[in-house]
Amino acid sequence: MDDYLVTVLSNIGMISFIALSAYLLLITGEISFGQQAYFGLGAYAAGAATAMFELPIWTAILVGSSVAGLMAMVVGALTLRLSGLYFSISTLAFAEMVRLILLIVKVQVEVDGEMVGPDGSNGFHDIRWMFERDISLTEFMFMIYGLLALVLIALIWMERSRLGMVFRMLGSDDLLAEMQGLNTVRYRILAAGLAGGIAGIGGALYAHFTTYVEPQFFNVMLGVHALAYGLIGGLGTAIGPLIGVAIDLGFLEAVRFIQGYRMIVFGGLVAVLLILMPRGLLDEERVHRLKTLFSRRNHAGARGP
Amino acid sequence: MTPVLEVRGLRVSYGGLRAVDGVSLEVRHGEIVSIIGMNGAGKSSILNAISGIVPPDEGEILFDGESIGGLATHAIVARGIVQVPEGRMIFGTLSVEENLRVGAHGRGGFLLRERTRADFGRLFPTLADKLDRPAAGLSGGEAQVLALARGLAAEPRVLLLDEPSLGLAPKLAADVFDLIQRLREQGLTILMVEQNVGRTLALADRAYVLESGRIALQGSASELLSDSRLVANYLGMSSTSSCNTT
Repeated sequence: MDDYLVTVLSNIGMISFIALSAYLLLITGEISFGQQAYFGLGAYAAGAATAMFELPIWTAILVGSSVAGLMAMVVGALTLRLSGLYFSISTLAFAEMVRLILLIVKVQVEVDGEMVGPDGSNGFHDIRWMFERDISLTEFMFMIYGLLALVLIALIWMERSRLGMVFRMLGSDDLLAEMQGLNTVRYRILAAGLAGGIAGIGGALYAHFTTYVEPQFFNVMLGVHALAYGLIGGLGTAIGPLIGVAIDLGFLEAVRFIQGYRMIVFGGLVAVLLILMPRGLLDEERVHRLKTLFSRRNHAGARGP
Repeated sequence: MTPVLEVRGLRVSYGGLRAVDGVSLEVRHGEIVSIIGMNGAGKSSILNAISGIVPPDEGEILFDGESIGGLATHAIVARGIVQVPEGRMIFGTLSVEENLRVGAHGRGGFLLRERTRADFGRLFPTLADKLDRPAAGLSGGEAQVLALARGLAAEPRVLLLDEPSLGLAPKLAADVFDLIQRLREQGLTILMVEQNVGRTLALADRAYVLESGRIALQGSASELLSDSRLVANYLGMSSTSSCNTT
């Protein structure tokens, strides 16, 4: 595979994490414009872990994910009483706050005679784990997709579990959920933390893939795209947002004649889809229909001669 | 006998407008107690204050003699006070069975007990064979019955019913009242809010008549049925309004 293809596929994989993060909140009925903050926190925390403290990569990813997840739980607890538009605005405000703080934070340590660490608006350079370990782009891509598969399997398992049912109840009517005796506060904070943690894994991978991160990358456009992926691909299954990412970064990026018009096409696509299919391509109803179709086929096959 | 549920001097207001103005009432074990009154009299506000959905300005709410004021809604449900809210509130994206499991969640993690399942089949035969269907596809009457069944799956000690017959066709409303009658025979304690005064008093042991947030009349159902003020204001009105002469 050539490097270009590997890079495009890796980007699709890494951005899928933030798409899944936004998706998880969407099914609980919350629209967050701020998941880029957790992607960014994950990137900085994991980058610091390997570049500044020379920790192993898996520890770094765990650190990035935990920092992002814990921060998301704190923000989730603070914004519990907000709903709808007010919640969305507060997530955006927090994300911008994180970005602006990262623009001024300068914490560097000396590693092998060089100063390494976040350097305010100059970004965080020399996250060189891939070079030091002589990891190829292709190998890293497999790492990305391995982790993505794990997260996806966990999410699909969760959706079938009691927790997934609770999350969908919150999305449909959280007062009614509370009236069934569910501690909705606890579940909201849990959803925020899981979503933050998933975005953090994506950020951690991103920092090591690009070897360099800067606060500017984690601006609101990343968060808006993350939301759009779920809304395009569908909110009926965790595979939905991945389809959204593949359409945007795979198809639109790769088709040459759209180059330069990508954002226009993407914006138009989002608008048309939201009118025609408000809950995306694979919404709950289509997922249900596909499932029954699939199980019926299996059934017929089992009964066949 | 000490009351299971007791409300003392309850005051509730919304943005300075007083909806409930000093209401005291009690529900004893195994009773059906009804709160009747016009739209906006404050009936639902009382139930919502008991359920911890709206914070009262003043007053005490006692359950088994213990104050439950200030507890979160889910904690009140956990103690055994379950409300079936007005308006056929069900989770449309979940299946009928999942809706029931949601109700039963406090009693062993979303699993329906065999007894609950058997009760369900007996009490709600029309729903029993639609268990795997999405709840969004149910008719209004079925949705109301499902909401009731979900409340029962929680095995409440006190069931709060908010307008269980509102907006239902007469035949369905009659079914719902029959169902409540059967629940009463099982010994369930119920506090219900209803606009259908005649039906309610036929069912209830006692009732409170609420006017502008205050209790205007109270007594046993039979006393109230023979009270000329109640008959003139409520039963009279409901019969004339149904003939469109008001």
